[in-house]
Amino acid sequence: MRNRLAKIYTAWSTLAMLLMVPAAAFAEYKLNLQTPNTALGHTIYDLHTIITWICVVIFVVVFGFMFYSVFKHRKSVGHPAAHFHEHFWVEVGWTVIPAIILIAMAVPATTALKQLRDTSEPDMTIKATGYQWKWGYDYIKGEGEGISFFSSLSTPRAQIEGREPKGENYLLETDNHVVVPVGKKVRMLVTAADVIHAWWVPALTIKQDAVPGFIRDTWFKAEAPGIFRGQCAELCGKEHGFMPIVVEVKSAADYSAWVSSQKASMKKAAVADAPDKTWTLDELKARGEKVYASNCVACHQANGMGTPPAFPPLSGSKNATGPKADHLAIVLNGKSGTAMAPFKHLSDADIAAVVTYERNSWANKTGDMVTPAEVKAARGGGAAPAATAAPAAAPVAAPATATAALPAAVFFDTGKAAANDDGKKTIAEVAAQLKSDAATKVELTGYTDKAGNLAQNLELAKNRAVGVREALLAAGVAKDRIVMKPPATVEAGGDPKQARRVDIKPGV
Amino acid sequence: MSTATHDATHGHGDAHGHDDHAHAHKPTGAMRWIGSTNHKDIGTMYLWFSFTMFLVGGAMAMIIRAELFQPGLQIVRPEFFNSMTTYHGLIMVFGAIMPAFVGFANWLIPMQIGAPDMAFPRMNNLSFWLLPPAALLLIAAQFAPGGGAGVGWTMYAPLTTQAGPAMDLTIFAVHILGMSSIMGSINIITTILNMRAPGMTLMKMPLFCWTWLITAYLLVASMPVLAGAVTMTLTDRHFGTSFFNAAGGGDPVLYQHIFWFFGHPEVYIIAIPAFGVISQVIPAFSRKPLFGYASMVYATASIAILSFMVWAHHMYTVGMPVEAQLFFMYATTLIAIPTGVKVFNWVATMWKGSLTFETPMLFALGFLFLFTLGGFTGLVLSITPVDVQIHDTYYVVAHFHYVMVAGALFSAFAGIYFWLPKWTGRMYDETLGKWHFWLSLIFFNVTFFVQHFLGLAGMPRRVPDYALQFAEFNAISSVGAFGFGLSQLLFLYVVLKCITSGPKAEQKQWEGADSIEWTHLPSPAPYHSFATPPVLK
Repeated sequence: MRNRLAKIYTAWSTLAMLLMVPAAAFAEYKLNLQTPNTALGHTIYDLHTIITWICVVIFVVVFGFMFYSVFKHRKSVGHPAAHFHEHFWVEVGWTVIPAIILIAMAVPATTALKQLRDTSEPDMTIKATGYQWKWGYDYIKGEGEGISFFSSLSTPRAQIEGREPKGENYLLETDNHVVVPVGKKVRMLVTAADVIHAWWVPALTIKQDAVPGFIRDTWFKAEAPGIFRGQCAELCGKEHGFMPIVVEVKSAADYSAWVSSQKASMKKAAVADAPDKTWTLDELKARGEKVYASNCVACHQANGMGTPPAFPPLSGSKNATGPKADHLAIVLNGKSGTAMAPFKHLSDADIAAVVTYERNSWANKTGDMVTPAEVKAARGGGAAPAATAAPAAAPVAAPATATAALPAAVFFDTGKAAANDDGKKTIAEVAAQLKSDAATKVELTGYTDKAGNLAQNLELAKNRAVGVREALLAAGVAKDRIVMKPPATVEAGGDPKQARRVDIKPGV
Repeated sequence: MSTATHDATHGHGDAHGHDDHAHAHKPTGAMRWIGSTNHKDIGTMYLWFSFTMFLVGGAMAMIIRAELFQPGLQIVRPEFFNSMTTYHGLIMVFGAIMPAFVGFANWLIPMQIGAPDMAFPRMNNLSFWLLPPAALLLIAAQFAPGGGAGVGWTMYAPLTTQAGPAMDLTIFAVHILGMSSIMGSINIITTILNMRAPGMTLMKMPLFCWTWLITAYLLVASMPVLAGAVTMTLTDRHFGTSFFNAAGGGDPVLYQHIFWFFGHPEVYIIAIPAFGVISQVIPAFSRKPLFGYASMVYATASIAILSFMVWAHHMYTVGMPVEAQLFFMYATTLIAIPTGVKVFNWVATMWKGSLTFETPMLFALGFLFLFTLGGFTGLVLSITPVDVQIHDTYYVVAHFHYVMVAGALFSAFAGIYFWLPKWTGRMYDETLGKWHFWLSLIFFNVTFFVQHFLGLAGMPRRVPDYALQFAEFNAISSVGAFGFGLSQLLFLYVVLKCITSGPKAEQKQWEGADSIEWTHLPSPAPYHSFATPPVLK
């Protein structure tokens, strides 16, 4: 008997210990929603808590009845079966009471939802664009306007593949943070360039699908400075799990300092990448390696061998060793029907660098150099994506010759209808060309995008085109040689500059 | 044909003259199954097919959980991982759960309404034999150039436009599965409406028949919508259309609207027959008639109708107008009312009964408890502002596994243990059956309960790797998944043992079972259930 008691005691104490170990460890486990950093976030957090508790209470009551029945109404305790099988008022009761509870839940949910979707009167606007597999950010309005950068995973592949110990923010760290000021209503415009992504930062309580071709909006107003991490939440292909979002909330003063440092470094970069800069092969290769590491390596691998057949090798490939124009076209425009996305959102210098790198790395020894000017020319051609056409890609580089000013694009500053200095220069060049070539007529089209108030945007695009027309007339171009076209919108996801331009095309 | 084979033993004397004739022409071996037009043969094939697919889909789940056991990429590459999540979903939904319940329908509907067979036996044969080719296409997709299509079982555009040839195989498989389902549904509707024995009025039918009648209408209404969605994907991929391509004037979100207009009724296509099985099992082991039969029928019909009005609750984050979000939130919460009525009715059926807890009853109670839990997380998810936080996270994964696995699958287990004696004439091993239940119950919760926490804390679904704070729960979940997977091999053993060497079952194996397959037919049931209509009071 004592022996048996001892056994039971040992068994129970072992079980208790087993139960306590996880209980102690659970203190560290995250069991609930992340602590919100917005006022609305707290509302939603509380809403979730209340609804969960209501569910728990109903659950306990209903299954209290069930388990009571399981223990008291069993045949083995001799309970005889009753024969009732309906009761009108009971049935009415358990239809009506849940309905009342649901209405009680719907009221606060409706209020919270209306707040969640109210993006009016923001202090600043940032556009997030999902790419396979990184995010692009454009500061569109408010302090920091004009800042634009990409943000991709900065966790080294070695950590992912288990060759290095994993860091604290494994998979939730990026090279560039989205920086926002504290206490300001930030409106996020969310879109995508290729497939659907979703922009999600749990602590800021927002998640918005990024739909290619459409711009959706959402908002947040951070309560406290800090770093908040999220991830893409919509399956977007192979590297879906590897495109995090890091939002850094700063005080007003720190934010201003960040804005000026960003502006300074953008200026520096613009000088470094100036179109007239002469690059050496080694410079391009060195830069290309970095571009490759942040854009290409996930599929084509660091050794250029890819993971065939889905992601073909570049080392020794026909594309990376054949004609430059074909290689450039596929990088710019992607290959439809495959996971090869267009990379035309990268700068001319970056594309030149990465193509040069790919043509001179691994087994590829072409010795070719692709310059930013060639990339610009290839873009200007606007060649259709070279999906199946193989040798026909030759005209890609053809149209933009050095002498012809047409077609041309006049770019404007955000919100301005008058041309800036660069724009005036372009108009002067076009006017000169038209004077020397009396047969050509031109068509003017103002472009805008779908962000914000479309009617206002179209009006601005039209005014810009009218301005260009006035300038051409003033420069002596005959009135009947200028044809005005209705303003147009550009698809989301491209270079934001493209949405602030007037195209001058040779017409009939 | 006639009731031939079993006439001599079971004495439906009317068909005596045809006995020899029938024996002479009855094919044997493989041809018996390939050419069979018998509802029991076809039901058996459906059930074995679905179990095979359950093992295939389960193996994929094991790969998924093995990769997620620890952070980092250890076993598979991300694109293969995506392919596994995609085909795990497709195979489990279209290959395992749906055919399992069609198998039940084939076996039981003629026996429960007093009919000799299904209304269209040859179409019945075809609707089964469409399934294996479709399954082969889904499996073959893994070996297509570029591997399986890692697009998720929901197949959202425009990711599907990028996918390789595997996508086309998958689309074709979905077409074939859809045709099979529609034919099966037409058969079920016609059988129930036209072939009931005299006296078997609609409101006297066992609830299982009611749930399938309603489900069949859901299938006929929703499968063509899915076929349309995947056909549009196909033409976007190959024939230059732009249904879902914004650059050509289309809209990627349109795909989601079409898909979920099918997809939400699909949830109930899976759940409603499960309700039917549970509504047979619980009264039998409570030795008490089902509480609120009429309200069960109306609740089921309300759920079916509402299921066509709530599809966009899967899309709260796509950026719909706030008015649309409010409509879908209110409509979705409404579903809680008829679902609640069903749960209350089941509990009231047990109340003051005389309960015993054989394996079918255990699975039915497991269903009731866990399905309700899944229903409550569904209610949490229906609240739009809350859903926005947990949409596309593991909270959703946990939610739908509670309703699909602890709901539909547990109900299928309950049904199989319940009717095995009637189908095979032999009894399963009760002890092993109970082991199967308890192991499944425990491992299921170990696998999926912790996933609620993962989702709340911010782990997105469909990722092959995750941040370090999610490591512990993922490890626990993976251990549970392996246990759950292994437990199902025990089920296979129990069924095989029952078929080959189980003790002989009685005609009315369960004291409280009262539908006519128990009261009017011997165990095993004759090859043709009722050559002459039974006499019903």
